Amino acid sequence: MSNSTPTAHVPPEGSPQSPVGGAYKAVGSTLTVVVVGGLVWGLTLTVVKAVAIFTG
Amino acid sequence: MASVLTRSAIVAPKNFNRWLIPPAALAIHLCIGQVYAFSVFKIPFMTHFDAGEVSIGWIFSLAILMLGISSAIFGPWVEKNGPRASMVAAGTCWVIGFFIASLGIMTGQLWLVYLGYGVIGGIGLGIGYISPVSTLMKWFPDRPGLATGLAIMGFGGGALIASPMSNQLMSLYGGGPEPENLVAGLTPTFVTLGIVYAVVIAAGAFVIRVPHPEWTPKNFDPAKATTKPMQTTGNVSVRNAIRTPQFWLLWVVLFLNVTAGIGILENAAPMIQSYFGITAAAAAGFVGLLSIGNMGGRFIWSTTSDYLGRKNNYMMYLGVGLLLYLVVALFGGNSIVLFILATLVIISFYGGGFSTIPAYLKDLFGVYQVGAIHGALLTAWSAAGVAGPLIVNSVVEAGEKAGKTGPELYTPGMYIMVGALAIGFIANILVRPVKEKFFEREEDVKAKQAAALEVDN
Repeated sequence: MSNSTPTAHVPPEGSPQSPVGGAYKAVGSTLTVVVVGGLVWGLTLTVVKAVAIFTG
Repeated sequence: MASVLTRSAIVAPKNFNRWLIPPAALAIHLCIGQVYAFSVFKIPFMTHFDAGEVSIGWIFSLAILMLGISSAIFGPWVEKNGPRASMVAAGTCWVIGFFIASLGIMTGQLWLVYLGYGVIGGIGLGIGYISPVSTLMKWFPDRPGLATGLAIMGFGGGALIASPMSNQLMSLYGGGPEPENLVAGLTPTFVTLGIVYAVVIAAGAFVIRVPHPEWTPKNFDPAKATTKPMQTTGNVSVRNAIRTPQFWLLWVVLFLNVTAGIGILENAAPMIQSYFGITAAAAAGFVGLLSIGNMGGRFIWSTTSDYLGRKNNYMMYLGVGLLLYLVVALFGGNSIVLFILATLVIISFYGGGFSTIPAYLKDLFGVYQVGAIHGALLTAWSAAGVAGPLIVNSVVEAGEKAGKTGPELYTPGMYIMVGALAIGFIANILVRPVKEKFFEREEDVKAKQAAALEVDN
C-alpha cells in the first residue's frame, strides 16, 4: 500500500456551498415527516382495505 | 466555484448525523415507485383513448424497459457526478414525463403518453433508482443491507401511496368516483402528481450529502467488515465487473428471482378467485396484501443479509421460494390461509432480491463503482419484466386453448417457476469471490475519490 495516500482537502464543516444550518434542518425534518407519514398513510389504507374486503 | 450539483459541493461536516440521509433516498424512491401503481390508470386510459389492454399495457412495459437500459447507460455518469446531480436529472425526466403524458391525455395522443411516461419517465426511473444507492452504502459501511433496504423499500412503498392518492385525485378533479368521472380527472391528476414529485425530489436532492473523507461510523472497524469470506478488500470498475463470471451469475439470479415474483404478481387476483371462488373485490384486497409483502421483504430481508450474508440470503430467496411454489402447486387449493401465506412469502423474497443485490455487489466488487455496476445489472429486471409476463400469460393462454379451467390453468406455470428458481439457486451457489486480477490499483481508486471530493475555495 502506498504511504502517500491522497486525501481530499475538505474543511471539517463540509462543503461551503452546502451548509447544514437552520434551512437544511427545516427541509430535512419536513421531508422526514412527509416520507414517513406518507408510508404510514399508504400502509394503513392498504391494510384496512384488504382486511375489510376479505371480511366482507 | 464548483456547481452545487457536484459531489464536491455536498460533502457533509465531519460530525454529521447519517440518519438524515435515508429520508432523502426514500424521497426519490417513493416518487418513482409510483410506476408500480400504474394499473390504477389502466381502465381510465382504455376508456379515454378507446384502446385495448395491450396498447395501454405497453406504457408500463416501456417504462420498465427504459429503466434497465438507462440505469446501465447512465450508471457511470451517476457514479461520476454524485447523488445530487443524479437525483436532479432523474427528477427532471420523471416530472417532464408526467407533463408530456398529461399533454397526450389532453389532446388524445397516446403516442405522447408512450413518449412522456414510458420513454422519458422511464429514463428518470433508471437514473433515480440507482442515484442514492452507492451513497447510502458509503454512509452505512457497517450495515449496507439495512441502508439499501430502506431506500429500495421506498420503491415498493411508492405504489402504496400513489394508488390511493391517484384514485382520490381523479375522483376529486373528475367530480366523483364513477368510472366516467375518473376519466375526466386524468389530466389534472397527472399534472398534480408531476408537481408533487418535483417538490419531493427537489427536497431530497437538497438534503442528500456524501460523507466527509475523515468520517466513519461510531465503533466501526473497516478491517473487521472485510473478514467475511465473500467480502472483497479490493475495488472493481464497472468495465471489469461485466467481464467477471460473478456479474453474469448475479444477472441470472436477479432475472430468475424477478421472473418468479412476476409469476405471482401477474396472476395473483385471477388465481385466488379460481382457487377459492372469492369476489374480484376481495382479490383486489389480496393484491394489496402482496404489495405490503413486497415492501416489507425489501427492508426486512435486506437487513437480515447484514447478519446472514448475501449469498445465504439468496439461497433462502431461491431455495425456500421454490419449495413454496411447490407447496402452492400441490396444496395451494386446499387452504386459503396456506395459499396467502405462501404467496406473501414468495413476494417478500421478490422484494428482498431487489434490495439485497446492491449490498451483494458491494461485497463482491467494492464500493468504488457499485452504482454503475448496479445499473448494468438492472438490465436483468428489464429482461424479466418482458419475459416474465410473456411466460406466465403464454402458459395460461395455452391452457385455455386446451380447454383447461380453474386452478389447472396456473399449475404448469408454478412448475416452470420451480425450475426457474432451481436454476437461480445453482447460479447463486456458483458465486465465488472476485479474482484480484480484476481489482483496480488502490492508489488510483483513492486518488479518484479524493479528486471528486476536492472542495474549491
